[in-house]
Amino acid sequence: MLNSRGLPLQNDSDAAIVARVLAGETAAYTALVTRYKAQYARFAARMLGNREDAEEALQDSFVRAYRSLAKCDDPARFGSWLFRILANRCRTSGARRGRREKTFVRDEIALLDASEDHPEERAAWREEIQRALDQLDEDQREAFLLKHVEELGYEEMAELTGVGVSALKMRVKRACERLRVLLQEANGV
Amino acid sequence: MSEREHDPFIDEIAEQLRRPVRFDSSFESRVMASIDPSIEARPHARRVTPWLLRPRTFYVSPLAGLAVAAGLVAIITMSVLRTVPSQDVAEAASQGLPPNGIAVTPVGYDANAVDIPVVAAPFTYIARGAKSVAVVGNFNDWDLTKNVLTLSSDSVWTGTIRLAPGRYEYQLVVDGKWIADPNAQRLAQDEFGGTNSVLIVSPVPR
Repeated sequence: MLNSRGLPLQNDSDAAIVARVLAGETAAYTALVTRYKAQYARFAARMLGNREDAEEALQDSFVRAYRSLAKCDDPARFGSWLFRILANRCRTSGARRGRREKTFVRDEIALLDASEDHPEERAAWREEIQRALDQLDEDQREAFLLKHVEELGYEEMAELTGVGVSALKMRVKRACERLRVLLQEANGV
Repeated sequence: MSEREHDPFIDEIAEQLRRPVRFDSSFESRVMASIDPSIEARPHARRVTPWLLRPRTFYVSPLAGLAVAAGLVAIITMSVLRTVPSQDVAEAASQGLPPNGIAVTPVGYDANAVDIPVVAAPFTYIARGAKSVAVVGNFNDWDLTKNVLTLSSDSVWTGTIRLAPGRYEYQLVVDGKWIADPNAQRLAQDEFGGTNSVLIVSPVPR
């Protein structure tokens, strides 16, 4: 799909694509889905612990964002706005999931990388990490992922989550402490 | 812990969690089908077994079996020959490029880098009729917009990415479809069942 200058739509800003979608060009929304899919897939999968739930949450978030697009106050920051929808969706999904027995499917999270040294050990280590992450409170897990995996600053995290910087720092600190304890226990340290 | 301090234990955990997670290539079409019923969703690649791939039992006579085998050999041979058109191969060769996939030529150091040598890795992909080709990998945070290849001549897409020596995982995105590089040095499974291409960039001797 090309923009008015004949260039791929993927090069357009979020605001330009949002404007096209709001003008009735529904197919232009694909460019936004493509743009944010990879990064947000990772966040959703880490938050929810498995790919199926993550896919469902992200798909639902894109659909909700589309249906509310006219309410997006700052289309230039569509990504941040979408993230807030996704984070809320993950919380809802996580709460629902928390009522069920948590099942951990080995091949969901840590398939082998045949090119690595000691692939079985690396896969087991990744399993332990995801299992420990699943045991954190959702607020702590979200704060940890934003800070250490998505590598956001606290101000940016505050803007995304609507939570104060001090509270976020405390959540990250507690998440780190808890992960350390859980992973050291798992490794018999 | 301040924002600038790093804890090696936490850094190791974060590095593992930063590994990419990808959904199948029908994700976009399923989203679009949800918001616009006139757009038909492609089937979920992981859950739907195509009709053609479902196991079946056939009974054939020995003579008919030989004829079918000869036919299959002919079809496969034609398919392989058509994968990389000879014109494209010649075209790529005339530009010093490999016929498909990736070639890494260490060209030297980045003059602006103090300690880290940087290698220019030329990416080449031949795709007849493609409208866009990009390289995504852990060197660009799997961002579709950072390393878009340009159409240098008919069907030959090229681009150069500057990389420090190391091991990288990547995929090609051809018209929005994520594919493993057919000529990758090696392949690696990601943690969610997908396949990445692997690129090893060796240090350049000073």
